[in-house]
Amino acid sequence: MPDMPDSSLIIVGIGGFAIARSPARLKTSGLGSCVGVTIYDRKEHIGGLVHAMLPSAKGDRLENNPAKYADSGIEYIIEEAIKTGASKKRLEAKIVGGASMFPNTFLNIGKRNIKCAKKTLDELGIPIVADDTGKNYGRTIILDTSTGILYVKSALYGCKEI
Amino acid sequence: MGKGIRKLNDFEYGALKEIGNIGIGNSATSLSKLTHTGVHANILGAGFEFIENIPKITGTSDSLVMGTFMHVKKELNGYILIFFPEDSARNLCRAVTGEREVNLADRLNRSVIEEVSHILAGTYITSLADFLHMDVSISTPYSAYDMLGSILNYVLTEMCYKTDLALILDSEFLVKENKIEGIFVTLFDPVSLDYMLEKINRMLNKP
Repeated sequence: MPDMPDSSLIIVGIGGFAIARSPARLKTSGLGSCVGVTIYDRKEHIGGLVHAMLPSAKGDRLENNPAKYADSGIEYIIEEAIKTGASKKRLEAKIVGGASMFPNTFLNIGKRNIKCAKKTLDELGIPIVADDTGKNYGRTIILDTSTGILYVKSALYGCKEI
Repeated sequence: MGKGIRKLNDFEYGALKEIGNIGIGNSATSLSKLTHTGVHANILGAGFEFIENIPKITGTSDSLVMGTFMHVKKELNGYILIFFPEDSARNLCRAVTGEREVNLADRLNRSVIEEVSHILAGTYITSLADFLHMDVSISTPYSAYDMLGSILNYVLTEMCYKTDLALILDSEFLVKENKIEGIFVTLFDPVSLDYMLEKINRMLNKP
């Protein structure tokens, strides 16, 4: 896990997003039921990350922040990545998060976030090349834009690459 | 822009912080009785913010904690979250049960943390409800042994489903003798915030 302090590490907050070129790394901490979606262009080494809280922007009360929702957030980072020089044809996606950390919660936002993220990527024709979703624990992720590797860290199960 | 997007003025900020002080002060007294030691409690901050900005106030981390959350119900709506870092959780179990070896994955110890958190949150809410003359209660506790950031994330997501903004009261407590520290976060929805401020104003304007 590349954990040294580094100016090229960009932290993405909850309901936030970022687009970056190699060698920057994009990190978002503590995904619970939120979903983290990354996109990556292997040729241009451009990566994007969104940390969405809820599934769909339809029915949003304020329309203030597209990155808050899985569907509008994914569309948004794809547009931004294309503006930065990525090609939509080459983009590949990875999905992490959407945990159900507590039993007895009826809302099931985690599952719905994953479902919505997958559906949105599917509709946009972006292949999902890896995922690590659901279960009952939180995750922190780092996307390395020089390699496209996504590091997934959890408190009890250590770190893995997907 | 919708209702509720505004900054708290100095008076409101002070009053809410004071309410938080009453709550956490009483909670500290409960904890002090449970552990038979002195407890220090501090308010770290208060604010009315977009839910996605709340981690900027509380700070977020990947550190492993025992986190318990409860719903606040009836006349006020929101959440109470209590975090104990790993070592503190172990020391707290030790202080309450008297056992030397503490395994946090053990169901019994999970219950200890949940029950202590429930008592602390209950005291907090009762003192607040008494002060404001309201009927407020809390749900049963839900706990997880995970990253602080993820537990907070889970609760913020659930809250976000119903409202865009939240009042946050952030506080901490410290039991020096037993090396127990904890973080106590209270979140209220905008309707509850307005209701509390209305009650405060009415109390101040009484002849």
